[in-house]
Amino acid sequence: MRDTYEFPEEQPGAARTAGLRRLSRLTWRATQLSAVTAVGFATLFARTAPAHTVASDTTAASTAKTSPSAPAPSSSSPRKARHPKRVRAIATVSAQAAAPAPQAAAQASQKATPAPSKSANLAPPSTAPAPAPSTSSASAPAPTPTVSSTSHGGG
Amino acid sequence: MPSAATTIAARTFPALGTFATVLVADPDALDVAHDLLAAELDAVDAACSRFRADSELWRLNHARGRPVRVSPLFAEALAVALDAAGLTDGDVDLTCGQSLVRLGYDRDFGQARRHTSPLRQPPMPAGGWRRVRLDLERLEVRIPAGVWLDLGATAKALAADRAAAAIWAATGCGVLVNLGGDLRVAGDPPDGGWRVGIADDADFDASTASIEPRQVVVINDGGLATSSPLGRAWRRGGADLHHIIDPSTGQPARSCWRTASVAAASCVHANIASTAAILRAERAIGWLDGLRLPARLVRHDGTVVTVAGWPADGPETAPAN
Repeated sequence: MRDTYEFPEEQPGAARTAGLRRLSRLTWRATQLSAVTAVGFATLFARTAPAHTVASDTTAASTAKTSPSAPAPSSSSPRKARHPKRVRAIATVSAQAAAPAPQAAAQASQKATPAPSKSANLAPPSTAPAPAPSTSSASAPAPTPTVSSTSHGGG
Repeated sequence: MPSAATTIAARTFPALGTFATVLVADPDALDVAHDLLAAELDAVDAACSRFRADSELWRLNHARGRPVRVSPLFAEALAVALDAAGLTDGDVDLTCGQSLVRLGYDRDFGQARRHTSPLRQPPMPAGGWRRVRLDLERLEVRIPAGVWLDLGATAKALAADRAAAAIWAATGCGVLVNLGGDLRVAGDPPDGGWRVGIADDADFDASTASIEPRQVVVINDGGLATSSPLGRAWRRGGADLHHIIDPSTGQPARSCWRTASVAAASCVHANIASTAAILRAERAIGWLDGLRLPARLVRHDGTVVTVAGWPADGPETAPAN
């Protein structure tokens, strides 16, 4: 059994140096953790934050381009885009303007890219429907008209 | 000059739960036109059918809020439907899928209307079109869990627009595509223009041959569509129902019009306007007039209101049978 327990005398300033070293390590770890967290949040935000929606963009355009003489549908306040770089307008595809190449329609369908522009309002035709000429006055029998009615069965 | 324009060739076949008709000003182009139209309809059906378990729309409706990758065609159809909602301030709402299911329209219409038992669930308002997220760069869509989309109206009109453009590009001749009353023309019209009969009392059981047009008009460009609560109407537990839904209630719209026919620059625009006209009832007159969209609106008693240059009914526009 030992009578005395003698401990070597600490070097002056050793405890202070060790504390500083520990503090330095902690600071470095905290910096690393912050960096990783920041990258993680940025990635999460980029993945989950919705792109500027078509819906809200449509409303915005409607509001901006409505002619004062045209009682266009009233619109709600548009939501602000959170990702301006992704803002893309969409349009109803005008068949003539966006006529696909003369290939099978199915192929055109699969390859078509949504048009990057959209309508500000519903557009009228170039010419309004005209009355059909009387069949009795025509030199030849008029062809049977194709019918526009509500959706119904084939036949 | 297109001297052959007086000879119009036509073919009709069933598609998308209705009929599809293609007319071409050059009879030699009919086969090509038919094939292109059939291919386009197949593609649209595979993407946008609410009833096919292998469609993209089905996958999206059952994704429970998760983002779903979609094809360019589906993205285009969805963009058009969102456009429709925006242009009508939400009257034409694509998020009425669950509303239609609650009303019993949960399968192909021909089958759905055979069920006449009372409905078991209360009506469900639309899920809200502003909650639909479409990322065009990633071709990714996300809708909230429980919200179902129905692209029925605008997708059919889009198909007419796309098919007419494709046929015109491939054949170079004038073409008219008619999908269940949603029409689009492209290219040079035949001499005298395209003759279109306007029917305002046809129901689902009327065939293309049996429909009696109330008026015949001539169009040379753009699209023309007719909407009506008569066409897809059914009965459940004593209640008369139809497919044009008021998004705020989830119930069939109550309108003063039995049909609304509208001409516009495209079939999509004509369809949006005609559907919105049914939903907006009396307000539709001023709205269509302000947009200079020619329209023929028919009240339930048969009274006709014409708007923005649509020709009035008269002897010269009588049906030509």
